[in-house]
Amino acid sequence: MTILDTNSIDQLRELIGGDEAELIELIELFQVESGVMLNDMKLSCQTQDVDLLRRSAHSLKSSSQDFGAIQLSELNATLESNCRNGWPDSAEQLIMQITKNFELVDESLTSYLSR
Amino acid sequence: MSGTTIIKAENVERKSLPGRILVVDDVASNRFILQRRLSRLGHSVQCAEGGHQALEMLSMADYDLVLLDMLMPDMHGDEVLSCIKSDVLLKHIPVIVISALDEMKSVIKCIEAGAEDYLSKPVDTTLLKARINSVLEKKKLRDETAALVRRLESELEDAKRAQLNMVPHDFPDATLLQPISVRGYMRPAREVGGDFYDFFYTGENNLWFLVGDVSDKGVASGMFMARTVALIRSIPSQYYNFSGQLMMPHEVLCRLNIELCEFNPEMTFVTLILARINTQTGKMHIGNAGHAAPYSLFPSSVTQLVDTKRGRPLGIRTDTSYQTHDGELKAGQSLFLYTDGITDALDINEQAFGEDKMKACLNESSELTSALPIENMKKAISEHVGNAVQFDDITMLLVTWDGYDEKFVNNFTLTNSIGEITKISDQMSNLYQVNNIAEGVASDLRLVVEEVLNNIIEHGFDDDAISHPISVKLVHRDKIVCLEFKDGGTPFNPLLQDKPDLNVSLDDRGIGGLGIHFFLSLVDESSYEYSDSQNCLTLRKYL
Repeated sequence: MTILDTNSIDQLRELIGGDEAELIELIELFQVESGVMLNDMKLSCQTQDVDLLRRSAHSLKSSSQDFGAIQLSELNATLESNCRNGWPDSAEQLIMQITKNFELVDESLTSYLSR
Repeated sequence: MSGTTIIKAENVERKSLPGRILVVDDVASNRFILQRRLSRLGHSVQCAEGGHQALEMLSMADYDLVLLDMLMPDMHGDEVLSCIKSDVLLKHIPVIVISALDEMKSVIKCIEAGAEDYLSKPVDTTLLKARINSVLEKKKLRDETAALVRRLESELEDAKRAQLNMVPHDFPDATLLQPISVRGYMRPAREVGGDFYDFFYTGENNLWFLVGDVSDKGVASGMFMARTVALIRSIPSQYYNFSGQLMMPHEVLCRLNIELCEFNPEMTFVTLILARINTQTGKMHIGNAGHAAPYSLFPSSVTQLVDTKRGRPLGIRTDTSYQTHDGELKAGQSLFLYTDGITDALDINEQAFGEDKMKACLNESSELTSALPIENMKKAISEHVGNAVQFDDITMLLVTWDGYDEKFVNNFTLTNSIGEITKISDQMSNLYQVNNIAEGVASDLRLVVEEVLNNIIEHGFDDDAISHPISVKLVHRDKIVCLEFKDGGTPFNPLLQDKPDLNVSLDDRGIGGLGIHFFLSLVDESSYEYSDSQNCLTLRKYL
């Protein structure tokens, strides 16, 4: 499974009307917003705030799916699911995996933008 | 085929109904994508970052649809939905919930709470278009239906107001000169009803009053009611016959019936009580076209005037005949006219108010005057009906004759002989003196009596050889002296005679009219009617 399915990004461009500038704006928005969500996840660990962790995982799950970052989406889906019965033991490990995966997605997006 | 453009079916998009859409999602990229996608479909889109902002925006502008995310930091989607659906001003706005596939429990909860539909993430373009179009079309239909209902309600309300304006609301109190009071009440069951009441004068002292009920309810019967009221009201000439005499109620009912039978394919009919009362004497004539007989209210005595013969309701057959019942109200007596909306008023257990309760209420009110009996009846009906829905119009009319405080009443009878005039006049003069009537007034009254009797004897009878009785009634009421002349001579209304031209010389003036003008100038009020084959002239002088 690839880190980033660029076909999904092409579809996304179509969905928003084919405007390249708008696509760039959208990708940058995703990059910044995902960084914020990752920070929220790390922050939740300090107080074991399971709601914040679940919400961040939920949001990153759906937005990364839109951009073809399937692995990232699935990792977040697992984390979200693990949050259903309280603070998960796997939280820190999954957050680390998600962070690493996001760095790869971020790089791929940056290189997609610099084509 | 050259010059022909072939458009593939799959490229032809069904035209979207443009709507004002509010997208509620805490994730900026989701908002960005949905906004662009929906704008491309022709919608006007605004976005809210969370529940609180969404509710604020909804309270400030009109939207056709809300696309609502479920998991948001400030408020969960189902809370936002609950706020929208519990707000009277917002609950009509459809909401489509957007959720992940693993959130079906929340989705079901939202559908139960009033969400119109749902879309799962990632949102499929075809489903997005189809569901939004479906919801917007439904909302458009709902909005149009609501606007139509509002318009109809408003028009029915206007019709109700117009109908209520057709019956009089200024009710006369009894006065010294017109000792009669009238009170009425009408409450249509629906926006437009078929009941009505009315009262009006023909001449100075003949008060007509009526209560009617058109068959069925609603706009059609309301229109028929308007037609009936207009007919009764708009042809005052119909209250006089060809000789200029006041008609009896049965004659008016006959004419009205013929008019209402025309252009009446639906066979709508009207029941009606029509009466006229002489406000000076209390004498009354009642005609009944299929209506419930009125009640007479006298202190400690409430009776239904069942001897008012019921004719057929108006508007059914042109060959219907009616009768007039003659009666008289005594001082302090009232007549209560009503429609069956009173007796048929149902409580929540569908028990009718009934004739007995109505009569009991009238008994309790029999010593009351003015508006009180009507107010008591309204209160009794209201207590009986409680929270039940009123299904028939309620109408009532109360006519109370106060009468006069009569100081003396004397009847004189003479025959048509000139020599008897002085004898009668002398007897009356004695009465004036004994009862301290001012000399000037007594002198005027003497002249009036002599002039009227002279006119009757000289011109009233064709056959001079035969003796005819003439009666004069002298009544002294509080501040009024009233003279009533009756004779069985040729019908003649002196009040319809032209005034003589006093500016021309006696030689140039035509014969007659001067004597009438003379005695009318000496009194304050006069009325005339021809009934029971008798001329009846009433003259009043204020003291």
